[in-house]
Amino acid sequence: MDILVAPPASKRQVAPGAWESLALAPMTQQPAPASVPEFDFEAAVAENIDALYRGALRMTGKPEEAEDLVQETFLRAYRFQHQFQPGTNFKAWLFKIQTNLFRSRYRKQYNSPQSLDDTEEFYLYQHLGPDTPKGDDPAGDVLDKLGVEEVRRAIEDLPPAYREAVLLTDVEGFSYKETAEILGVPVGTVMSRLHRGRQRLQRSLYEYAKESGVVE
Amino acid sequence: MSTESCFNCHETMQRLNSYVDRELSDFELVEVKKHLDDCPPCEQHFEFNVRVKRLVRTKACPEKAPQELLQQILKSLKRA
Repeated sequence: MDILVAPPASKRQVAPGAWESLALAPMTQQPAPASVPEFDFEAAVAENIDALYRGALRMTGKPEEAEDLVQETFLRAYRFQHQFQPGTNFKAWLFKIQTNLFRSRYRKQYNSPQSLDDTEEFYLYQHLGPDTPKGDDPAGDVLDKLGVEEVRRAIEDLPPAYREAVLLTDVEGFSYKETAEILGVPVGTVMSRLHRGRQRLQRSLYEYAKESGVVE
Repeated sequence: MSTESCFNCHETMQRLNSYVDRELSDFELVEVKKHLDDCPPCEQHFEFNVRVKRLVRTKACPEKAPQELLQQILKSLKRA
């Protein structure tokens, strides 16, 4: 399963300073569990439960349903652990199971017609950022003022197909290739969902920033 | 001595998401970086997109799984 091949660190190094603060690499570079016979499943549950839970919570929107989804994910993973390829990324494998479970349980919600219209490029930035006196950073200031509640709502507003792509790459740090493998779609589809998802996210963030008085 | 990027603003913007996500080829990565170094408006876009990504990463999912859930799962694994 080549989803699990992280790009060599040397290829990720040509970066300006802004990247460094993102610290996005750890997930893909973490060593995978060594081999099935020595694999400590209980330790793997403890290690991955928070990631699966936060993903489930943002997808279902309800703590009880998220707990149920996570529990079922681990039970399936336990039952089918012989199918896991040692040396590959266990976290990605768990997310693939959870994604499939979510889709089959919430088929109606997942497939319901969504208005997938494109929004303006760089919406938030265009409304807050450009044409300001040198030295000012009003767009950045607004981002600093946005709280957990506004960001959470903006994420939950995204149609499920966009939301899962944004969560997997931006929150969990999966590469496009890993995200594509988890979602069962081509890399190009991941890229376009991410692009559209981020555009819509910026629009929602702007609306919530206005609603909460962060911008006039 | 650095040469001019072979990407213009439009071509750079088309690649901005992939650049922020560190998903460009080596060639594209170098060319986008060159363009950003020479183009403050595009550089501002880049900085902003990095900040939005960081915002999502840090604030979209602050919750941790309840402790009881872990215990419940471990218990059900023993029964499985």
